[in-house]
Amino acid sequence: MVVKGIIKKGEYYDSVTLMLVARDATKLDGVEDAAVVMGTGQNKSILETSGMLLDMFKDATDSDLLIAVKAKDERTAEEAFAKIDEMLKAKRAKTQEAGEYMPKSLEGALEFMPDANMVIISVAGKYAGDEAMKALEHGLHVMLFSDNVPLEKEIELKKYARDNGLLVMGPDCGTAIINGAPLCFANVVNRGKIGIVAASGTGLQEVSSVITNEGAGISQAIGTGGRDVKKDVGGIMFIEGMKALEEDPETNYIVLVSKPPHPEVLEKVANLIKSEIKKPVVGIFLGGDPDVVKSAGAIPASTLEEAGLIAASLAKGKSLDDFKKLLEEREKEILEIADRESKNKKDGQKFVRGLYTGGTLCDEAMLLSRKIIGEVYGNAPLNPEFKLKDSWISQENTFVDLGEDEFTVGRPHPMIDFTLRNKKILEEAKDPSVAVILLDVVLGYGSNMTPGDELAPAIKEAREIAKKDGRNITFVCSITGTDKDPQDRKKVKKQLEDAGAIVMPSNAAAAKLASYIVKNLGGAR
Amino acid sequence: MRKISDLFKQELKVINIGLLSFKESLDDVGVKVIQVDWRPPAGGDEEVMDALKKLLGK
Amino acid sequence: MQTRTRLKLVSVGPDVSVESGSVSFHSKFSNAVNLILDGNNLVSIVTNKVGGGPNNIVLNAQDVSFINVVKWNESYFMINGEVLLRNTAKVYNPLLSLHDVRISDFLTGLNFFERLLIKNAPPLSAAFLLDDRRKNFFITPFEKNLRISIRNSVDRFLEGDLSAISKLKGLGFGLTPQGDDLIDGFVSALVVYEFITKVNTYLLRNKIYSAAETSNLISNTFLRYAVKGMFYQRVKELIEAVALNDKGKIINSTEKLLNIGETSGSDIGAGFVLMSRKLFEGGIKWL
Repeated sequence: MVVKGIIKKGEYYDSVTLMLVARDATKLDGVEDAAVVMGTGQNKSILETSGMLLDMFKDATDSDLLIAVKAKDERTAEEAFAKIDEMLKAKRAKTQEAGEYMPKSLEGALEFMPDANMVIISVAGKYAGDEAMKALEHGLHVMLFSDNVPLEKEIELKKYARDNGLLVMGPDCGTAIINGAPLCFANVVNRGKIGIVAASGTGLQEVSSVITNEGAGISQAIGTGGRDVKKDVGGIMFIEGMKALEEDPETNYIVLVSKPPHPEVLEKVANLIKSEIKKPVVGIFLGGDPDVVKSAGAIPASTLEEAGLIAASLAKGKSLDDFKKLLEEREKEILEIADRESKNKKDGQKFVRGLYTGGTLCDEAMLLSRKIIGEVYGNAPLNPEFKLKDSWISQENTFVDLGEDEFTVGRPHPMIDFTLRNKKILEEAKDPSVAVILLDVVLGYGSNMTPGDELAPAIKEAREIAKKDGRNITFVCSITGTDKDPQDRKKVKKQLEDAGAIVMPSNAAAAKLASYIVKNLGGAR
Repeated sequence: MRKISDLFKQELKVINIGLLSFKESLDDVGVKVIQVDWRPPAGGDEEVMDALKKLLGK
Repeated sequence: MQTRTRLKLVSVGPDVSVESGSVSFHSKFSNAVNLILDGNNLVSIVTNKVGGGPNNIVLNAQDVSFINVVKWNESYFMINGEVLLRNTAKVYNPLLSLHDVRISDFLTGLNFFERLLIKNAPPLSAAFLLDDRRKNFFITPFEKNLRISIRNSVDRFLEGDLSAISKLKGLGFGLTPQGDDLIDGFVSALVVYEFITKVNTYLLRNKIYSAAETSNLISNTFLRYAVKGMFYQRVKELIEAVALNDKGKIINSTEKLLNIGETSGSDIGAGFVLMSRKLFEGGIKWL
């Protein structure tokens, strides 16, 4: 053990810096203790108690900075000094690190990171709006994950942002990909030439995942929150997002994703495309009229998957006919599987239960299934007459969005915590009229990190419960995500298939398969 | 006059106010992000009770 | 991002001299630039985060470390070449405004403040004196010895041993070491106690000052003002909020107190809580 020391004169640092520097030095291998303190009488006495009071320190004054290191040998001590010096120098150069101390407010954070350009806000809605406004006033772009932000506040925020060239993504915006970085719930995608503006989180995820899986890439994916394209907000951010992508030299193709915007908003979008947007635009307005999209000057897609495939084809310079062929092939496959699966059912099994974690994915599934099996029940149904009396009790064909308030108050989102859905899976399996259980699995940052580990056993158990009663339940799954996602898409697919589920390549394909099985069994409306 | 598209040319530097997992995912991909240990501002009794509950409940 | 705004004077403390005289730079931080005038007077140029004080000049900047040249007289301040009219600034009032404070209100507010402090103070702050679990933040042998020393000296002082003050002064990390800030808190508590109960604490305050006087110009200055009943903005706002038992204001002012990347605020707060408790619980041994 050696004790070495250095005295620095005329250098002053705040207490947190000195503590962190000393602490970091002791973390080095072979360093037992370290101190970086002013040479006051009392500090010297602590150095003495710690066995680090060197002779050279004895005459030091209050304004001297004493650096003492107790290490296993000279060399280690020198390393520690070098590290301490480096850290103090960095501090003098005004590069500040938060270390173990977290700032308590936006202003505090800006002290540490004065060149920040984005704030992500996910605190309770009643405060989120004000925090967002503060951020905008500091010239920062905002990702507003929180929901329950009052409408008036959203309008105020977006008007201010528009006037100041800033982004407000939200409220209730769960996904965005900016400069290649996944914000909140987002997938790891390829970087490329396709830009997305989306008023739907899982819509953005599905489209960006399909694009990546097809070998094309995303330049920017801007979320606006669902309320943006409604009448009151008037599409402010949707429009600004489109303009930004038009100006961005790295974006060559633009995809628009949302539920059908309010007619006034749609008109603004259409006018913008006609007057200012020169880049090709693909539009998927779920449940909307494709002719409307066409007359707006965009290429219409009828599903999220299609929108992704069209954009990818454009980006890869391929003809749009190629993917059309692909979809035709797939339709054939789906019908074959549906045929097979409808033959292994017990009498009485004829309904589908869709248990969804992504709201837009649920909507898309309902839209597609409506064409095949008619109206379905749900907690957020397409037709209000088909609203479940009790969101927890399914009826005939039912599609449930487990991300809705009644399921999420006081608990984590179902994309993160599978407990609730797993419970529902077992319940539905006990219902003798159920033939198909339809599930979305959303990968990416912010989602459950081991979805296969948690979902596969529930699927297995559910099938066993049904088997004991002589019933075979078809589990149809889709995985929204890419191979680059932390959950490892391939692994998850295998786990689900091993548990007996059929994994389809997209949400649209999964919904169609489930619906055809039901149709074959006579469960259509 | 600043534009949104200016952001696309900069290095993203993020301040995260709220759920820690959102910071962690950015850490993973190497984006500079700082976490704010946020508390509700001066507010009504509800927030105070919440604050006290957390402190007393420990 | 920050757009370049013109510098503005927000407030000037009543103790900031008429003329700057010979100015030398003591130390620079992003929140404060400390100047020494004529060899022995401290004046600090600070941001709004730090706030006003008897010897503070508050600017509307987010970061003041860019300042290299300072000069002033009765009419203007010149900072890095920018000229600011002195009369555009408010004069900071460092005196407490407390009227008819009920002891029960003060103690309830104090309780609430203490809990916030325990929860939110930085890891190595003296707040461990208020909650034993915080001692787990002290990890290295040096930190542990420091903590023990602070604890022992504070305990002895609160038992009435004035000599413990000289064991606290200069003890700990930072520009104003933790021991100095604790003493500041003790003295502030004496001022407030006198305000509320009218018991004369002048003699004791001066005794503490004598025992605590150091060559640390910054600590000394802070303490000297505290002894005189003159407060810096963040501490003043906190004390007023506590005395009114206004929970919203207490939360707000506590956040401001702890907001700077430093332990000073929480250390002064800890000293204030401990001493106030002792005084109101009848620890009138010293007086």
